[in-house]
Amino acid sequence: MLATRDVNGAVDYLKKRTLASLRGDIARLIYVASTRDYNTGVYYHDGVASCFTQEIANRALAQCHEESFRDIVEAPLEAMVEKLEEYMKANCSESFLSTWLDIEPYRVLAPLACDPLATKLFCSNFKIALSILASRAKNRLRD
Amino acid sequence: MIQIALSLLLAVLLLGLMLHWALQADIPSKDLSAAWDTLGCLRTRFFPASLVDRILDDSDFLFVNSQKDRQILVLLEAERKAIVMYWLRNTRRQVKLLMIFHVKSARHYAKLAPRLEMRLASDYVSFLVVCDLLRILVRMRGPFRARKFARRTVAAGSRFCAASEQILMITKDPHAEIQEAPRNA
Repeated sequence: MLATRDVNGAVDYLKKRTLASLRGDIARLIYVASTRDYNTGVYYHDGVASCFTQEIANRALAQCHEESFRDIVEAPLEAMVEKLEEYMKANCSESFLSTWLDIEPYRVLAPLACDPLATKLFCSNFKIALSILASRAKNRLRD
Repeated sequence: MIQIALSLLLAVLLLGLMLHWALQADIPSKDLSAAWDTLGCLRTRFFPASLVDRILDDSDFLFVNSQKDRQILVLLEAERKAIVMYWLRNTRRQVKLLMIFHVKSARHYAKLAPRLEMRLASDYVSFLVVCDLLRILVRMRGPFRARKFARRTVAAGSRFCAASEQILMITKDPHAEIQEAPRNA
C-alpha cells in the first residue's frame, strides 16, 4: 500500500524540479503524457523513481497528468487558443499547425483515468484551437 | 376436450413460470454490483453539470464568432453537436441499463413502497422525454441554444439516480427502512 504522503512528496518534487521549467500548460501536459508507456499505461521517470520508488513515480506522474489535463479541459476555448499559441511560439516550427492538424497527436494526451466526455471535449477544443491559429496565420500571410 | 386440456396445460405452465419468477428472491451479487457501477458511472461521468455547462458555454461561441471565420464557427457547432449527441446516447444507455436492472431484479427482492416505484418510473419517463426534446432542440436550433434544456436533462437524470440509489440501498439490505428522500435533493 502506497502512502499518500509519499505520492504527494513525489508530486511536489516533479512540479518544482521538472514541470516548473516548462513554459505553459500545454508543454507540461505533453511532457507528462510522454512519460507514459503507451502499451502499458505506466509512467516512468528516472529522477522521481530514484528518489522514491517506481510505483510512487507512476502514481505521481498520473496525478500530475490528470491535473494538467483537467486545467486545460475546464478552460474556455479562448484560453486554450492562448495556451496553444504560447506552446507554438516556444516550439516554433513552420509545419507545426499542418502537422498537428493532420496527425492529430493531441489524441494521445488524455490520461487513462479521465472520462470519455472530457476527452471528447478536449480533442474537439484542440482541433478548433488549431483551426483558429491556422486561420490567423493564413490571414497574416494574406495581409 | 383436447382444447380444454391444452388450455389447462398452458395455464399450469404459465403459473409455474410466474411462481419461478416470484420465488427468484436472490439477485446475483454481480448484477447488483454492476447496477452500483452503472449508477456511479452515471453520476461521475455523465451528470457532472459543470462539464455539460462547459461544453455548451456561450463564451466559446462568442469567441469563435469574433474570429470572423464562418468555417470555424460551423466546425464549432458541428463538434459541440456531436459531443451533446454522444453524451445523450450514452447517458440514455446507462439509465436504461439501470432501469432494466430494477425491473428485472429489484422488485422481486425488496418490499418496495409503491410510492418509491412510482417515483422511479416517473423519473425515468421524464428523463426520456427531456432527452428526446433536447435532441430535437439541438438538431433544430444548434447546441448553444439548448443549454438551459441540457441543464434540465442533467437535473432529470440526477433525480432518477437519486431514486435508483434509494432502491439499490434497499436491495442491498432488504430489512432497511424505506425513507423517502426530498424531491429536490
